[in-house]
Amino acid sequence: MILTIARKEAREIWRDGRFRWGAVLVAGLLAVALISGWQNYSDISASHKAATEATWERWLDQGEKNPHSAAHYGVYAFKPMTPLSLVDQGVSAYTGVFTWLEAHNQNPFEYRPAQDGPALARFGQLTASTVLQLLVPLLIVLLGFSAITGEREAGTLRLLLGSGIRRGTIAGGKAAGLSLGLSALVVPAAAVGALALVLAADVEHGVSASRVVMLASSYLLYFGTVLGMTLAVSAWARSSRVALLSLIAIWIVNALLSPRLASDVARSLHPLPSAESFRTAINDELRNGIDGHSPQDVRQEALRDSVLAAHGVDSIPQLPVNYAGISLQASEEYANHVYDRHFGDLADRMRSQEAVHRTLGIVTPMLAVRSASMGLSGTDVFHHEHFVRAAEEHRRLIQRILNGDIEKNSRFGETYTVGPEVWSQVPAFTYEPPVLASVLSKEAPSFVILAAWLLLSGLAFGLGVHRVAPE
Amino acid sequence: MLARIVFHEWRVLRADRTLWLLLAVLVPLVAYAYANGAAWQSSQQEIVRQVLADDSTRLATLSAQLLAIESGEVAAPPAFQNPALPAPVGRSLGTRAAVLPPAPLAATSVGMGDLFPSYAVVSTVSGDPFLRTPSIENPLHLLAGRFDLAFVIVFLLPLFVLSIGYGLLSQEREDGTLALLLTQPLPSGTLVAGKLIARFVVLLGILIIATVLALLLGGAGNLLSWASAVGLWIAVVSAYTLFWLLVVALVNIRGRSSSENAMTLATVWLLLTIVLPAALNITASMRYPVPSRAEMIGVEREAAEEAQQQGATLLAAFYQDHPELAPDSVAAGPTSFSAQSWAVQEEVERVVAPVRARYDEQAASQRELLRRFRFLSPALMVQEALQDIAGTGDVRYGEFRAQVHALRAEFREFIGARIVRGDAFTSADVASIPAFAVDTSDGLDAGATSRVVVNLVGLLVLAMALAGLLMAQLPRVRMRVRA
Repeated sequence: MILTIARKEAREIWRDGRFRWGAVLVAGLLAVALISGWQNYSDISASHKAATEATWERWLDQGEKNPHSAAHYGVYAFKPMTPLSLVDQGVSAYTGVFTWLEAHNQNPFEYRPAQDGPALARFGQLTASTVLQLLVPLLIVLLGFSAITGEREAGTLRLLLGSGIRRGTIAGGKAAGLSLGLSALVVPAAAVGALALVLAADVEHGVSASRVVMLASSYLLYFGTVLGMTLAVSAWARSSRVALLSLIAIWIVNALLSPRLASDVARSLHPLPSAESFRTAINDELRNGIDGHSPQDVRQEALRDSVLAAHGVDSIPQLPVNYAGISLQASEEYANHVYDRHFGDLADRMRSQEAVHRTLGIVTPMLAVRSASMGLSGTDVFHHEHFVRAAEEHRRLIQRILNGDIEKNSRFGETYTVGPEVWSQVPAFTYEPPVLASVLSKEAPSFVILAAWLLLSGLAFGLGVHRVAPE
Repeated sequence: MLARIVFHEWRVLRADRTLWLLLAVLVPLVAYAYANGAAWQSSQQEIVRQVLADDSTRLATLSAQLLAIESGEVAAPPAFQNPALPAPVGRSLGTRAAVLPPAPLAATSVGMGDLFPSYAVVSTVSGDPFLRTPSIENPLHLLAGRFDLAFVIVFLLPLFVLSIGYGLLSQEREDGTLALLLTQPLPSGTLVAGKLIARFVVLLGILIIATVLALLLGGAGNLLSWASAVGLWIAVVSAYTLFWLLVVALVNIRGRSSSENAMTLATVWLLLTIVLPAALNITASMRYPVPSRAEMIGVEREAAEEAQQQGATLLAAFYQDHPELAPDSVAAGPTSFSAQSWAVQEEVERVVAPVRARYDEQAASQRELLRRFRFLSPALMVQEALQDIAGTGDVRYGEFRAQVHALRAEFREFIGARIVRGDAFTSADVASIPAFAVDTSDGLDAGATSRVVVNLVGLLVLAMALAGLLMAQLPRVRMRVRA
């Protein structure tokens, strides 16, 4: 019986001109979004790849100089684009794309691509995620808002119930039929997406089949939730009109208001420092010490005394190693400590803000699916911070190697230059994106929230169908 | 007759609680959105104040240091931080701030203000001081955009119009009153016009009073000199409301049910405010893709290296081109080193400039393309107009950026001349370091005003086209009276 109802529902949907037009529009937009996402991905990854190679070659070819001059010359780290960005570009237009790895300073990431874009771009880019998060739900609403109210208003609900069909069967049949109708849209879209990903498949950037499957399942949970909600509202509403208006209102809150409101909540719960006070705090601590009472010269003096004591000599030229290297490395390490405190705190706050968005998925499911989608696509704040961290680790490695060379291979006060033999001791910067497990452990709440939503909306639908009375 | 319909509609709106519902939702919404924008505005004011304070402290310190050195009270510090040498002054000790204070109406639309800095510190250091000014904001929040008044207008106002208008005629039909109405000696045009006017007045009245109150209570400052800007704001919002009301009327005369009308209107809204802008964006970025700035860094570094290798030659060539700047005797020590590295820097600037310009041109073409197509969607026109009124649009930031670059060029010339001449930097020079002329104009500038007016005209043309369509169709429409 369920099958009969489902078949009837699906057939009705396919025959509905509105759905056909809507589906064609959504499918067309999805196709355009995927194509442009693909273009964007391949352009950026090609240029960043070339830039990474160029910066490395320049590092090796920099000629003879003092290792510390080379440290100041430095290299650049360019953030790679992940292939799944063709599904969800996340925050990638709003984060800097490269940083300069030089001595002494942890530099901020520069050039947010959105700064090169027009103000109108703030309306939002057309990406597959926009289509999946905003448009498909609206299509589901338009498809299903009258599923139960319509039967009641047409008087067919009385017939259905009178023919002895159980209410559970009706509910199941309706849900199955609508899903079947929708699959006419979702299945080809998923196929196109999968094909695009196969083309883009790039193991080095951590895109695995399991990531794609998880991504797809987050959207399926979301669509299920929206379908459940639509049917539930249709079962509980007085009339088709009330059902439609309520569902549009829910859509507005869910799709339009929630990201902005969640930003306000996150901002007020975990405020970020201003760029000015952030810089000033770091500079103060570098100059006057983390406790505020150990200025640079005092720290230098203490270091010198301890190094001299450790080697049992009483002046710097008597040391078997070059003190300049030791002193440079010590100041690097002190600065690293300061950076870890401040950049670490900043990253923590951003992560907390991100968690606020995710947790607010309890109120509007869009926030949960958005979080899961960006996370699995590798375009969220977490992935950006992961790259920032990796680049900084590489910067520190470069300093350790170069300062170590000064310490071991040169004499205090001499003019010391080296060449490619030392530059090549620095390994090329290779980036390992976070493994799926770490993404999943972060996004587990999103999945739990989405599953709870699905369950709840299904339950609300079931209850609604059981209490609905024919007119 | 029209007045009577309007009055009757007003009574209906009051009686069926629409009016109260609107008041209860719209007023808090405006208050919240405005407070949000005002918080951003005051944070920007604070930043500008801080930057200007730092700027004068920096110059005062420089002056004091120079006087102390010149009077022999203290010994000159090492060359890289010696204020008596122009190079360190240009690099850090005497840098100048450029600021863009938020306009009085900035709180109504944050616009691009969360993405672009409201200041830049100009020095001789390479790179774009505007794009490189650090800012700290969660990218997730940049992506979402602010919940400001412009958001309420562009996205939510149409939804309010649709919610009080989707049953304009269909509701009367479903209630059985349309047949009664049409038996009266009442042209259907007058009926529709009366219904539209009542809704227009109620909705806009609430919105404008709430906004003006917010502006006054929020301390937007000297509103009188900005009266024309406030007037333009009201005109743009009115035209936008009118447009949506006419859409509502056009959908209603098709004689469908209220549900169908709601569905159609929601779709139109979705197409015009979400789908079309996104589609235009994607077209513009595919047509004029702005390549990643990563390539620029490569060019910059390569130029720097080549220039460094021929540093001495460059300096000689420089003196040949500018004999007036050549020192009497080419001094040894830090001066000649500075002069050489200055010549290198100049060369790098020269090589990199066209590359940078290419990025800017590409971005400008993209912007131009979008600006041309904005007439397709009223939402795009309104967004741009509201940003121009608030002074947070990309054009104003672009102008500020150009001013920053002009100051930078002036500053580099000022410092560079002293470096290559081998002059010392003296306390008398401090006062002549190029300074930024802060924009203190009252009211919108001519460019912004004309952009707003163009958008306003665009909106009105769209509205007039709809009105024409409505008037052409009304007499021919057979009003279905039965649901």
